[in-house]
Amino acid sequence: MGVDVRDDIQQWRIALASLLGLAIEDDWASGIDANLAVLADNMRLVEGLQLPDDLDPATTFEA
Amino acid sequence: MSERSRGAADIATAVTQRQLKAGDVVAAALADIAARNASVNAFTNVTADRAIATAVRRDAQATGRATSLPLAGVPFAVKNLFDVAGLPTRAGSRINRSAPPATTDAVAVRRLEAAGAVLVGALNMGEYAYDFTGENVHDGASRNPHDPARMSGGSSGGSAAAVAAGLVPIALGSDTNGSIRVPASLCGIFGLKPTFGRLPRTGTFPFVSSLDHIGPFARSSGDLALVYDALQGPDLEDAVCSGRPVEPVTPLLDVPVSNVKVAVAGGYFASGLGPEAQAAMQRVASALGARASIELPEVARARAAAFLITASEGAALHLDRLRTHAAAFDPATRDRLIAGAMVPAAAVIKAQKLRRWFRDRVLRLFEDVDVIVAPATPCTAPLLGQQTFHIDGRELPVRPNLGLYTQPISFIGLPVVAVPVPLDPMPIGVQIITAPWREDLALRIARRLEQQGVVSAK
Repeated sequence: MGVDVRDDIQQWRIALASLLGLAIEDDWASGIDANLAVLADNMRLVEGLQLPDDLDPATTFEA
Repeated sequence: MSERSRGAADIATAVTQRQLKAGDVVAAALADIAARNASVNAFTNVTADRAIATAVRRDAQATGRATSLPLAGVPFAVKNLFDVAGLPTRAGSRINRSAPPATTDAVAVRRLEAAGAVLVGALNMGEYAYDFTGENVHDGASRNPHDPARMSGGSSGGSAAAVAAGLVPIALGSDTNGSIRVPASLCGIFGLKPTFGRLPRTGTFPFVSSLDHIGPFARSSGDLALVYDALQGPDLEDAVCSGRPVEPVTPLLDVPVSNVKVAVAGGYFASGLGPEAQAAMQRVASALGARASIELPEVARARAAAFLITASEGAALHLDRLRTHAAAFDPATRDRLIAGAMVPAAAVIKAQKLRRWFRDRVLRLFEDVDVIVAPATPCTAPLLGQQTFHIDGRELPVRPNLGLYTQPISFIGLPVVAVPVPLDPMPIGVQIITAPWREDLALRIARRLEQQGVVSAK
């Protein structure tokens, strides 16, 4: 992970932890950041597929 | 025949016809659990008093004639996220141990007891179901009965281990991204993840409401169908439970499948398989005469979307606990949940849209085929504590990647039977996937493979 991305993830974690009221101990940071990096990759993958505006999210799902 | 090797159908018939007493079956099961559970660490609670009392009632009910109790006297156990009256519903956690005991049984437990089955206990699982390995830091790992140095898989690890070890003939688990199919594969037994919304979730501790399913494990396709039939029916308290009536599958199991169109999932599902997974897929495909390959579109993106929905909904469920009891979690679970709480809503909504898109595209494929066969896990059971394995020449973490092939399928709620291919030294599963509400077809295929000797519980 490049330094810039690592800094972005760290700032993401710090800001959201504060907003969400989560007290994160120092030695948890690397584990959380590793998971955030995976989620960031997942977000990029999902974002990469263009979908029509009128497609309903499957918030009440039926198979 | 020893009690340990009897299947559920055999036990029920023998108890009904008074050839066997439910009391004796249950006593044998309880003794077996006492003697052998330590080697697999499947059970977290044994409800002996309740089981004995229930067995006495079953014996009083046995009339010697055909009965409406298809599971008469059959011992069963449930993943410890199912409510069992009198027990705190621990859901694999330390935090939940201090919760008040459940006042009533989960709907699924009640239905199995109404069918005559006898609850003998609650089973080990991955913490809050956010797990594919069966390694629980609070209750200890559930172990693979075929090699106790290896993972059972998870998160329904205790359920799979208990059935694979012959401690009970049937068990219940849950599957959000693979938590029935992964342990069924690694432990070499049959598992059913039904259509999303088919079976009642009321009285189960949730993980991801958008993706949670419950389902059974068994050592034969016949027993799997028997349990599935007993579990079916609407449940008004479960917001996603279908209003479909009971549609018994057991009477249909031996309907021929010669005209069923079967294809093998290619593309994403054909890459990353270890040699055992490849061998299992070849055996099953060959037995079914499946020559055609079918490719599902954008599977990697679908899996990514499932990850995002899982991460954010799981985190939302546990947010208060993360604020007040973060140190009481397994650190690995804690870190995943905290990260999940930080996913932007727009990303989750996009993932939900992708879910509908992917479902629509995959359902079109079922216009040309009836059954899709796919691997269940990339490899046989890893060693306990193993952190990485090799997939396609890359070293990847074990934990999230055991669900590589299961996650995209549960994402769109398709019914799947995991069938066990009894390789040596370790078994491995294959997914039999059908269109929504076609559990009957998946179970018929499983039955046919079992009759051919291609799949069996070791």
